[in-house]
Amino acid sequence: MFHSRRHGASGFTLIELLIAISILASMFVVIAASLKISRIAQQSAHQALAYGIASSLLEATAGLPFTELQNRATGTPLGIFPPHGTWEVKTDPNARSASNTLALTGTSTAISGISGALRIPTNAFGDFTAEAALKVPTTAPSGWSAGIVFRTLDFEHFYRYSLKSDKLLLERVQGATTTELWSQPASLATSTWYRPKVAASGANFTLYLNDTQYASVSDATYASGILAIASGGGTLLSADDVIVSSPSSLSWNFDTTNPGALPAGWRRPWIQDLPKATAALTIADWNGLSGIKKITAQVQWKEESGIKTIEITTLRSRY
Amino acid sequence: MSNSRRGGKGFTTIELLITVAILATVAVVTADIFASHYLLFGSLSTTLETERSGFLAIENIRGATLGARRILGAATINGVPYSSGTSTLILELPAVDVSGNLLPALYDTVVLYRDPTDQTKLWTETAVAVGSARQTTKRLLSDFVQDLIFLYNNNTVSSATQVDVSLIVSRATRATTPETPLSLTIDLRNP
Repeated sequence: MFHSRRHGASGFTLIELLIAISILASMFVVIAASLKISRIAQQSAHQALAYGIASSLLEATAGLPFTELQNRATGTPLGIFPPHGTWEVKTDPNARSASNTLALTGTSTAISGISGALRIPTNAFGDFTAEAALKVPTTAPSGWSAGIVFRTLDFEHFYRYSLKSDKLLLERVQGATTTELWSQPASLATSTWYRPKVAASGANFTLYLNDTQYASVSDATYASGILAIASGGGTLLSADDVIVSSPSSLSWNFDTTNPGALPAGWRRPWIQDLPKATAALTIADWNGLSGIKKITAQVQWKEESGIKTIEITTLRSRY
Repeated sequence: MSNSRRGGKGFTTIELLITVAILATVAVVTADIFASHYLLFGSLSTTLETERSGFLAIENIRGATLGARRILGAATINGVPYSSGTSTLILELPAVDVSGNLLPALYDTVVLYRDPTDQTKLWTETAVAVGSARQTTKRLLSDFVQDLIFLYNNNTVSSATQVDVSLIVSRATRATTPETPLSLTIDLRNP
Protein backbone atom coordinates (compact mmCIF):
# COMPACT_ATOMS: atom_id res chain seq x y z
CA MET A 1 0.00 0.00 0.00
CA PHE A 2 1.20 3.52 -0.85
CA HIS A 3 1.01 6.68 1.26
CA SER A 4 -1.94 8.80 0.08
CA ARG A 5 -0.47 12.30 0.89
CA ARG A 6 3.17 12.41 0.00
CA HIS A 7 5.66 10.59 -2.07
CA GLY A 8 9.00 10.38 -0.35
CA ALA A 9 7.79 12.70 2.50
CA SER A 10 8.61 15.89 0.53
CA GLY A 11 6.48 19.02 -0.45
CA PHE A 12 3.35 20.51 1.22
CA THR A 13 -0.24 19.48 1.31
CA LEU A 14 -2.85 21.78 -0.13
CA ILE A 15 -4.14 22.70 3.31
CA GLU A 16 -0.64 23.63 4.51
CA LEU A 17 -0.15 25.82 1.47
CA LEU A 18 -3.52 27.51 2.01
CA ILE A 19 -2.69 28.20 5.65
CA ALA A 20 0.69 29.66 4.69
CA ILE A 21 -0.89 31.88 2.04
CA SER A 22 -3.58 33.02 4.49
CA ILE A 23 -0.95 33.93 7.08
CA LEU A 24 1.08 35.90 4.56
CA ALA A 25 -2.04 37.62 3.22
CA SER A 26 -3.16 38.58 6.75
CA MET A 27 0.27 39.97 7.54
CA PHE A 28 0.27 41.93 4.30
CA VAL A 29 -3.21 43.34 4.92
CA VAL A 30 -2.38 44.34 8.51
CA ILE A 31 0.93 45.97 7.59
CA ALA A 32 -0.52 47.74 4.53
CA ALA A 33 -3.48 49.07 6.52
CA SER A 34 -1.24 50.25 9.33
CA LEU A 35 1.12 51.98 6.95
CA LYS A 36 -1.79 53.64 5.21
CA ILE A 37 -3.29 54.90 8.48
CA SER A 38 0.13 56.04 9.63
CA ARG A 39 0.60 57.97 6.39
CA ILE A 40 -2.83 59.56 6.65
CA ALA A 41 -2.09 60.61 10.24
CA GLN A 42 1.24 62.10 9.21
CA GLN A 43 -0.30 63.91 6.26
CA SER A 44 -3.02 65.44 8.39
CA ALA A 45 -0.35 66.68 10.82
CA HIS A 46 1.60 68.15 7.91
CA GLN A 47 -1.54 69.78 6.57
CA ALA A 48 -2.34 71.37 9.94
CA LEU A 49 1.19 72.74 10.25
CA ALA A 50 1.20 73.99 6.65
CA TYR A 51 -2.10 75.76 7.24
CA GLY A 52 -0.69 77.32 10.43
CA ILE A 53 2.37 78.56 8.51
CA ALA A 54 0.27 79.96 5.65
CA SER A 55 -2.12 81.72 8.00
CA SER A 56 0.83 83.08 10.02
CA LEU A 57 2.31 84.53 6.82
CA LEU A 58 -0.97 86.28 6.08
CA GLU A 59 -1.70 87.33 9.67
CA ALA A 60 1.71 88.93 9.99
CA THR A 61 0.88 91.34 7.16
CA ALA A 62 -2.34 92.46 8.82
CA GLY A 63 -0.52 94.71 11.26
CA LEU A 64 1.70 96.35 8.63
CA PRO A 65 0.87 99.75 7.16
CA PHE A 66 -0.46 99.57 3.61
CA THR A 67 2.66 101.34 2.33
CA GLU A 68 4.77 98.37 3.44
CA LEU A 69 2.80 96.03 1.20
CA GLN A 70 4.93 96.48 -1.88
CA ASN A 71 4.35 94.07 -4.74
CA ARG A 72 6.65 91.11 -4.43
CA ALA A 73 7.16 87.91 -6.28
CA THR A 74 10.16 86.85 -4.20
CA GLY A 75 8.03 85.19 -1.54
CA THR A 76 10.03 86.53 1.42
CA PRO A 77 7.84 86.73 4.55
CA LEU A 78 6.85 90.17 5.82
CA GLY A 79 6.20 91.14 9.43
CA ILE A 80 7.47 87.80 10.73
CA PHE A 81 10.91 86.33 11.35
CA PRO A 82 10.66 82.53 11.20
CA PRO A 83 13.63 80.19 11.65
CA HIS A 84 16.02 80.15 8.72
CA GLY A 85 18.23 77.12 8.18
CA THR A 86 18.37 73.98 10.29
CA TRP A 87 19.19 74.38 13.98
CA GLU A 88 19.76 71.83 16.70
CA VAL A 89 21.68 71.33 19.91
CA LYS A 90 24.91 69.42 19.40
CA THR A 91 27.51 68.01 21.71
CA ASP A 92 30.76 69.86 21.11
CA PRO A 93 33.98 68.95 22.92
CA ASN A 94 35.06 72.55 22.35
CA ALA A 95 31.83 74.10 23.59
CA ARG A 96 32.44 77.39 25.35
CA SER A 97 30.63 75.99 28.35
CA ALA A 98 30.60 72.20 28.32
CA SER A 99 29.13 70.26 26.79
CA ASN A 100 26.52 71.40 24.25
CA THR A 101 26.12 74.19 21.75
CA LEU A 102 23.30 75.45 19.59
CA ALA A 103 24.37 74.68 16.04
CA LEU A 104 23.27 75.80 12.62
CA THR A 105 23.67 72.47 10.84
CA GLY A 106 22.23 73.50 7.48
CA THR A 107 22.02 76.87 5.78
CA SER A 108 19.22 78.15 3.57
CA THR A 109 19.20 80.42 0.54
CA ALA A 110 20.43 83.77 1.79
CA ILE A 111 17.84 86.48 2.40
CA SER A 112 19.29 89.94 3.04
CA GLY A 113 22.65 88.25 3.59
CA ILE A 114 21.25 85.85 6.22
CA SER A 115 22.11 82.20 5.61
CA GLY A 116 20.77 80.99 8.94
CA ALA A 117 18.91 82.67 11.79
CA LEU A 118 17.06 81.66 14.90
CA ARG A 119 15.03 83.90 17.13
CA ILE A 120 16.07 84.14 20.77
CA PRO A 121 12.79 83.28 22.53
CA THR A 122 11.95 86.61 24.10
CA ASN A 123 9.36 89.24 23.37
CA ALA A 124 10.27 92.07 21.04
CA PHE A 125 12.48 94.61 22.79
CA GLY A 126 13.35 98.24 22.24
CA ASP A 127 15.97 98.60 24.94
CA PHE A 128 17.98 95.52 25.81
CA THR A 129 21.39 94.04 26.44
CA ALA A 130 22.15 90.76 24.72
CA GLU A 131 25.23 88.68 24.00
CA ALA A 132 26.12 85.27 22.62
CA ALA A 133 29.30 83.27 22.18
CA LEU A 134 29.66 82.47 18.48
CA LYS A 135 32.04 80.31 16.48
CA VAL A 136 32.21 79.45 12.79
CA PRO A 137 33.84 76.20 11.65
CA THR A 138 37.18 75.97 9.88
CA THR A 139 35.23 75.03 6.74
CA ALA A 140 33.48 78.44 6.67
CA PRO A 141 33.54 80.13 3.25
CA SER A 142 35.85 83.16 3.02
CA GLY A 143 32.96 85.64 3.17
CA TRP A 144 31.59 84.26 6.43
CA SER A 145 29.82 86.37 8.99
CA ALA A 146 28.26 85.64 12.36
CA GLY A 147 26.43 87.91 14.69
CA ILE A 148 23.32 89.18 16.39
CA VAL A 149 20.39 90.69 14.54
CA PHE A 150 18.21 92.96 16.63
CA ARG A 151 15.13 95.17 16.51
CA THR A 152 14.12 92.72 13.81
CA LEU A 153 10.70 93.00 12.21
CA ASP A 154 11.31 90.57 9.37
CA PHE A 155 14.01 89.61 6.87
CA GLU A 156 13.92 93.08 5.34
CA HIS A 157 13.90 95.27 8.43
CA PHE A 158 16.59 94.82 11.08
CA TYR A 159 19.97 95.83 12.48
CA ARG A 160 22.86 93.38 12.30
CA TYR A 161 26.02 93.38 14.39
CA SER A 162 28.37 91.06 12.48
CA LEU A 163 31.76 89.54 13.00
CA LYS A 164 33.64 88.90 9.78
CA SER A 165 37.10 87.56 9.12
CA ASP A 166 38.42 91.10 8.52
CA LYS A 167 36.10 93.44 10.43
CA LEU A 168 33.36 94.17 12.93
CA LEU A 169 30.30 95.65 11.30
CA LEU A 170 26.96 97.23 12.18
CA GLU A 171 24.42 97.40 9.38
CA ARG A 172 20.84 98.47 8.91
CA VAL A 173 18.78 96.45 6.47
CA GLN A 174 15.77 98.26 5.03
CA GLY A 175 14.07 96.50 2.17
CA ALA A 176 16.65 95.82 -0.50
CA THR A 177 19.02 98.45 0.92
CA THR A 178 21.76 97.58 3.39
CA THR A 179 23.45 100.55 5.03
CA GLU A 180 26.73 100.27 6.88
CA LEU A 181 26.38 102.26 10.12
CA TRP A 182 29.81 101.46 11.53
CA SER A 183 32.73 99.14 10.90
CA GLN A 184 36.21 98.56 12.22
CA PRO A 185 38.97 96.37 10.80
CA ALA A 186 39.68 93.23 12.80
CA SER A 187 41.28 89.89 12.27
CA LEU A 188 38.95 87.13 13.36
CA ALA A 189 39.63 83.42 13.00
CA THR A 190 37.43 80.43 12.38
CA SER A 191 37.02 77.78 15.06
CA THR A 192 37.40 80.41 17.76
CA TRP A 193 34.76 81.54 20.22
CA TYR A 194 33.91 85.27 20.09
CA ARG A 195 31.38 87.00 22.27
CA PRO A 196 29.58 89.91 20.56
CA LYS A 197 27.31 91.97 22.80
CA VAL A 198 24.81 94.71 21.98
CA ALA A 199 23.32 97.19 24.43
CA ALA A 200 20.47 99.17 22.88
CA SER A 201 18.93 102.19 24.53
CA GLY A 202 16.66 104.40 22.47
CA ALA A 203 18.49 105.28 19.27
CA ASN A 204 21.90 104.40 20.75
CA PHE A 205 23.66 101.09 20.31
CA THR A 206 26.80 100.18 22.22
CA LEU A 207 28.75 97.33 20.66
CA TYR A 208 31.17 95.05 22.46
CA LEU A 209 33.34 92.10 21.59
CA ASN A 210 34.63 89.87 24.38
CA ASP A 211 33.64 92.54 26.94
CA THR A 212 35.63 95.30 25.21
CA GLN A 213 33.56 98.24 23.99
CA TYR A 214 34.21 98.96 20.33
CA ALA A 215 31.60 101.50 19.31
CA SER A 216 28.63 103.61 20.20
CA VAL A 217 26.37 104.19 17.23
CA SER A 218 23.08 106.06 16.81
CA ASP A 219 20.23 105.27 14.46
CA ALA A 220 16.51 105.76 15.03
CA THR A 221 15.06 103.76 12.12
CA TYR A 222 13.73 100.83 14.14
CA ALA A 223 12.48 101.32 17.67
CA SER A 224 11.75 97.73 18.62
CA GLY A 225 11.93 94.17 17.37
CA ILE A 226 13.03 90.68 18.13
CA LEU A 227 16.53 89.33 18.73
CA ALA A 228 18.13 86.52 16.78
CA ILE A 229 21.42 84.77 16.19
CA ALA A 230 22.40 84.80 12.56
CA SER A 231 25.04 83.66 10.12
CA GLY A 232 25.88 84.98 6.68
CA GLY A 233 28.04 84.13 3.70
CA GLY A 234 26.80 80.55 3.68
CA THR A 235 28.58 79.51 6.84
CA LEU A 236 27.47 77.11 9.53
CA LEU A 237 27.62 78.43 13.08
CA SER A 238 27.79 77.38 16.71
CA ALA A 239 26.36 79.44 19.56
CA ASP A 240 26.74 79.04 23.29
CA ASP A 241 25.99 80.99 26.46
CA VAL A 242 23.30 83.22 25.04
CA ILE A 243 22.49 85.89 27.61
CA VAL A 244 19.82 88.57 27.62
CA SER A 245 20.58 90.62 30.71
CA SER A 246 18.02 93.37 30.25
CA PRO A 247 15.12 94.11 30.35
CA SER A 248 14.65 90.50 31.47
CA SER A 249 17.38 88.27 32.81
CA LEU A 250 17.54 85.18 30.63
CA SER A 251 20.33 82.80 29.66
CA TRP A 252 20.81 79.55 27.81
CA ASN A 253 23.86 77.25 27.72
CA PHE A 254 22.02 74.37 25.97
CA ASP A 255 23.69 71.79 28.22
CA THR A 256 20.47 70.24 29.54
CA THR A 257 18.95 69.83 26.08
CA ASN A 258 19.26 66.50 24.32
CA PRO A 259 21.46 66.65 21.19
CA GLY A 260 19.32 66.79 18.07
CA ALA A 261 16.59 68.82 19.76
CA LEU A 262 16.09 72.48 20.59
CA PRO A 263 15.56 73.90 24.08
CA ALA A 264 12.02 74.73 25.20
CA GLY A 265 10.82 77.90 23.54
CA TRP A 266 13.49 77.95 20.82
CA ARG A 267 11.58 75.72 18.48
CA ARG A 268 9.21 77.57 16.20
CA PRO A 269 7.39 75.00 14.08
CA TRP A 270 7.96 76.10 10.53
CA ILE A 271 8.78 74.63 7.12
CA GLN A 272 11.76 72.74 8.55
CA ASP A 273 9.15 70.48 10.19
CA LEU A 274 7.66 69.60 6.81
CA PRO A 275 9.35 67.38 4.20
CA LYS A 276 11.10 69.43 1.51
CA ALA A 277 8.89 72.44 2.10
CA THR A 278 8.86 76.02 0.88
CA ALA A 279 6.79 78.96 2.08
CA ALA A 280 6.16 82.08 0.08
CA LEU A 281 4.32 85.34 0.45
CA THR A 282 3.46 87.19 -2.73
CA ILE A 283 1.79 90.57 -3.11
CA ALA A 284 0.29 91.95 -6.30
CA ASP A 285 -2.16 94.66 -7.36
CA TRP A 286 -5.67 93.27 -7.47
CA ASN A 287 -7.28 93.65 -10.89
CA GLY A 288 -4.66 96.26 -11.74
CA LEU A 289 -5.70 98.52 -8.84
CA SER A 290 -2.72 99.73 -6.83
CA GLY A 291 -5.03 100.66 -3.93
CA ILE A 292 -6.03 97.04 -3.37
CA LYS A 293 -3.44 94.35 -2.79
CA LYS A 294 -3.90 90.66 -3.29
CA ILE A 295 -1.78 88.90 -0.68
CA THR A 296 -1.14 85.20 -1.13
CA ALA A 297 0.56 82.84 1.25
CA GLN A 298 1.59 79.51 -0.17
CA VAL A 299 3.15 76.51 1.52
CA GLN A 300 4.33 73.54 -0.51
CA TRP A 301 5.72 70.30 0.76
CA LYS A 302 6.38 66.82 -0.52
CA GLU A 303 4.46 63.72 0.46
CA GLU A 304 4.97 60.24 -0.97
CA SER A 305 1.88 60.82 -3.09
CA GLY A 306 3.30 64.02 -4.57
CA ILE A 307 3.63 67.74 -3.97
CA LYS A 308 1.00 69.21 -1.64
CA THR A 309 0.08 72.87 -1.62
CA ILE A 310 -1.88 75.08 0.73
CA GLU A 311 -2.61 78.56 -0.53
CA ILE A 312 -4.53 81.29 1.28
CA THR A 313 -5.32 84.62 -0.27
CA THR A 314 -6.68 87.85 1.16
CA LEU A 315 -7.30 91.34 -0.17
CA ARG A 316 -6.15 94.46 1.63
CA SER A 317 -7.42 97.88 0.68
CA ARG A 318 -5.69 101.20 1.16
CA TYR A 319 -9.05 102.73 2.00
CA MET B 1 4.12 -0.51 0.87
CA SER B 2 3.64 2.42 3.16
CA ASN B 3 5.59 2.35 6.39
CA SER B 4 3.71 5.27 7.94
CA ARG B 5 0.41 3.71 8.87
CA ARG B 6 -0.84 0.28 9.67
CA GLY B 7 -4.31 -0.60 8.39
CA GLY B 8 -4.94 3.11 7.51
CA LYS B 9 -5.69 4.11 11.12
CA GLY B 10 -3.93 6.57 13.45
CA PHE B 11 -0.78 8.67 12.97
CA THR B 12 2.83 7.85 13.34
CA THR B 13 4.86 9.72 15.95
CA ILE B 14 6.64 11.71 13.28
CA GLU B 15 3.34 12.82 11.68
CA LEU B 16 2.03 13.85 15.05
CA LEU B 17 5.19 15.80 15.78
CA ILE B 18 5.05 17.54 12.40
CA THR B 19 1.37 18.41 12.91
CA VAL B 20 2.10 19.81 16.39
CA ALA B 21 5.04 21.79 14.99
CA ILE B 22 2.91 23.23 12.18
CA LEU B 23 0.10 24.14 14.58
CA ALA B 24 2.61 25.71 16.97
CA THR B 25 4.13 27.72 14.13
CA VAL B 26 0.70 28.84 12.94
CA ALA B 27 -0.23 29.81 16.51
CA VAL B 28 2.98 31.77 17.03
CA VAL B 29 2.69 33.58 13.71
CA THR B 30 -0.99 34.37 14.27
CA ALA B 31 -0.30 35.59 17.79
CA ASP B 32 2.55 37.71 16.45
CA ILE B 33 0.27 39.22 13.82
CA PHE B 34 -2.30 40.12 16.44
CA ALA B 35 0.36 41.44 18.83
CA SER B 36 1.89 43.57 16.06
CA HIS B 37 -1.53 44.75 15.04
CA TYR B 38 -2.35 45.60 18.65
CA LEU B 39 0.90 47.55 19.02
CA LEU B 40 0.46 49.32 15.71
CA PHE B 41 -3.14 50.13 16.43
CA GLY B 42 -2.18 51.43 19.88
CA SER B 43 0.61 53.51 18.41
CA LEU B 44 -1.60 54.92 15.66
CA SER B 45 -4.52 55.71 17.93
CA THR B 46 -2.11 57.45 20.33
CA THR B 47 -0.67 59.46 17.46
CA LEU B 48 -4.12 60.39 16.17
CA GLU B 49 -5.34 61.30 19.64
CA THR B 50 -2.26 63.47 20.24
CA GLU B 51 -2.64 65.15 16.87
CA ARG B 52 -6.31 65.78 17.46
CA SER B 53 -5.61 67.39 20.81
CA GLY B 54 -2.98 69.61 19.17
CA PHE B 55 -5.35 70.63 16.36
CA LEU B 56 -8.10 71.32 18.87
CA ALA B 57 -5.78 73.42 21.02
CA ILE B 58 -4.44 75.51 18.15
CA GLU B 59 -7.92 76.00 16.69
CA ASN B 60 -9.21 77.14 20.08
CA ILE B 61 -6.35 79.61 20.37
CA ARG B 62 -7.00 80.79 16.82
CA GLY B 63 -10.75 81.08 17.46
CA ALA B 64 -10.30 82.98 20.71
CA THR B 65 -7.77 85.38 19.28
CA LEU B 66 -9.65 86.05 16.05
CA GLY B 67 -12.52 87.44 18.07
CA ALA B 68 -10.31 89.19 20.60
CA ARG B 69 -10.15 92.92 21.11
CA ARG B 70 -6.86 93.05 22.95
CA ILE B 71 -4.39 91.22 25.14
CA LEU B 72 -4.68 91.82 28.85
CA GLY B 73 -1.52 91.96 30.94
CA ALA B 74 -3.30 90.51 33.94
CA ALA B 75 -6.81 89.50 34.95
CA THR B 76 -8.64 87.58 37.62
CA ILE B 77 -10.78 84.96 36.00
CA ASN B 78 -13.26 82.98 38.03
CA GLY B 79 -11.41 84.01 41.18
CA VAL B 80 -7.93 83.05 39.97
CA PRO B 81 -5.35 85.75 39.09
CA TYR B 82 -3.45 85.27 35.80
CA SER B 83 -0.73 87.27 34.04
CA SER B 84 0.01 87.10 30.31
CA GLY B 85 3.47 85.76 29.57
CA THR B 86 5.29 83.00 27.76
CA SER B 87 2.93 80.30 29.02
CA THR B 88 -0.26 82.31 29.58
CA LEU B 89 -2.31 84.43 27.21
CA ILE B 90 -5.25 86.52 28.40
CA LEU B 91 -7.61 87.97 25.83
CA GLU B 92 -10.49 90.37 26.06
CA LEU B 93 -13.40 89.64 23.72
CA PRO B 94 -16.42 91.82 22.98
CA ALA B 95 -19.46 90.28 24.67
CA VAL B 96 -22.35 89.29 22.43
CA ASP B 97 -25.90 88.31 23.38
CA VAL B 98 -27.71 85.18 22.22
CA SER B 99 -28.86 86.99 19.08
CA GLY B 100 -25.30 87.81 18.16
CA ASN B 101 -25.59 91.52 18.99
CA LEU B 102 -22.62 93.26 20.58
CA LEU B 103 -23.17 94.29 24.18
CA PRO B 104 -21.76 97.83 24.42
CA ALA B 105 -18.73 98.23 26.70
CA LEU B 106 -19.05 94.69 28.00
CA TYR B 107 -16.27 92.16 27.55
CA ASP B 108 -15.66 88.50 28.16
CA THR B 109 -12.23 87.32 29.21
CA VAL B 110 -10.49 84.19 28.02
CA VAL B 111 -7.27 82.81 29.42
CA LEU B 112 -5.20 80.10 27.75
CA TYR B 113 -2.51 78.72 30.00
CA ARG B 114 -0.14 75.87 30.51
CA ASP B 115 -0.81 74.18 33.82
CA PRO B 116 2.02 75.18 36.17
CA THR B 117 1.72 71.95 38.14
CA ASP B 118 1.33 69.63 35.15
CA GLN B 119 3.12 71.13 32.16
CA THR B 120 1.54 68.64 29.76
CA LYS B 121 -1.86 70.27 30.19
CA LEU B 122 -3.18 73.29 28.30
CA TRP B 123 -6.33 74.86 29.74
CA THR B 124 -8.73 77.53 28.64
CA GLU B 125 -10.99 79.34 31.01
CA THR B 126 -13.65 81.91 30.22
CA ALA B 127 -15.25 84.55 32.43
CA VAL B 128 -18.25 86.24 30.87
CA ALA B 129 -20.01 89.57 31.21
CA VAL B 130 -23.64 89.74 32.32
CA GLY B 131 -25.91 88.96 29.36
CA SER B 132 -23.14 87.38 27.28
CA ALA B 133 -24.02 84.36 25.21
CA ARG B 134 -20.68 82.75 26.08
CA GLN B 135 -20.53 80.31 28.94
CA THR B 136 -18.30 80.50 31.97
CA THR B 137 -16.16 77.46 31.36
CA LYS B 138 -12.90 75.77 32.12
CA ARG B 139 -11.80 73.26 29.50
CA LEU B 140 -8.80 71.08 28.95
CA LEU B 141 -7.53 71.69 25.42
CA SER B 142 -4.67 69.24 25.46
CA ASP B 143 -2.90 67.04 27.94
CA PHE B 144 -0.01 66.18 25.63
CA VAL B 145 1.85 69.50 25.61
CA GLN B 146 5.58 69.11 25.12
CA ASP B 147 6.38 72.74 24.44
CA LEU B 148 4.26 75.89 24.35
CA ILE B 149 5.36 79.48 24.14
CA PHE B 150 3.58 82.75 23.54
CA LEU B 151 5.92 85.50 22.30
CA TYR B 152 4.73 89.08 21.89
CA ASN B 153 5.85 91.91 19.67
CA ASN B 154 5.98 94.24 22.64
CA ASN B 155 7.60 93.58 25.99
CA THR B 156 4.66 95.37 27.59
CA VAL B 157 2.34 92.53 26.78
CA SER B 158 -0.85 94.58 27.08
CA SER B 159 0.48 96.81 24.27
CA ALA B 160 1.35 93.92 21.96
CA THR B 161 -0.39 93.64 18.62
CA GLN B 162 1.11 90.35 17.50
CA VAL B 163 1.51 87.03 19.27
CA ASP B 164 3.56 84.10 18.01
CA VAL B 165 2.31 80.80 19.30
CA SER B 166 4.44 77.68 19.08
CA LEU B 167 2.83 74.46 20.27
CA ILE B 168 4.33 71.00 20.17
CA VAL B 169 2.25 68.08 21.38
CA SER B 170 3.64 64.60 21.85
CA ARG B 171 2.91 61.39 23.66
CA ALA B 172 5.07 58.33 24.03
CA THR B 173 3.90 55.06 22.56
CA ARG B 174 5.66 51.76 23.18
CA ALA B 175 7.68 52.19 20.03
CA THR B 176 8.18 55.94 19.52
CA THR B 177 7.27 59.40 20.77
CA PRO B 178 5.59 61.02 17.79
CA GLU B 179 5.23 64.76 17.99
CA THR B 180 3.01 67.24 16.21
CA PRO B 181 4.47 70.74 15.81
CA LEU B 182 1.98 73.55 15.27
CA SER B 183 2.37 77.29 15.05
CA LEU B 184 0.27 80.37 14.73
CA THR B 185 0.82 84.10 14.41
CA ILE B 186 -2.02 86.30 15.56
CA ASP B 187 -2.49 89.95 14.82
CA LEU B 188 -4.63 92.00 17.19
CA ARG B 189 -5.91 95.51 16.90
CA ASN B 190 -5.25 96.16 20.59
CA PRO B 191 -6.73 99.67 20.86
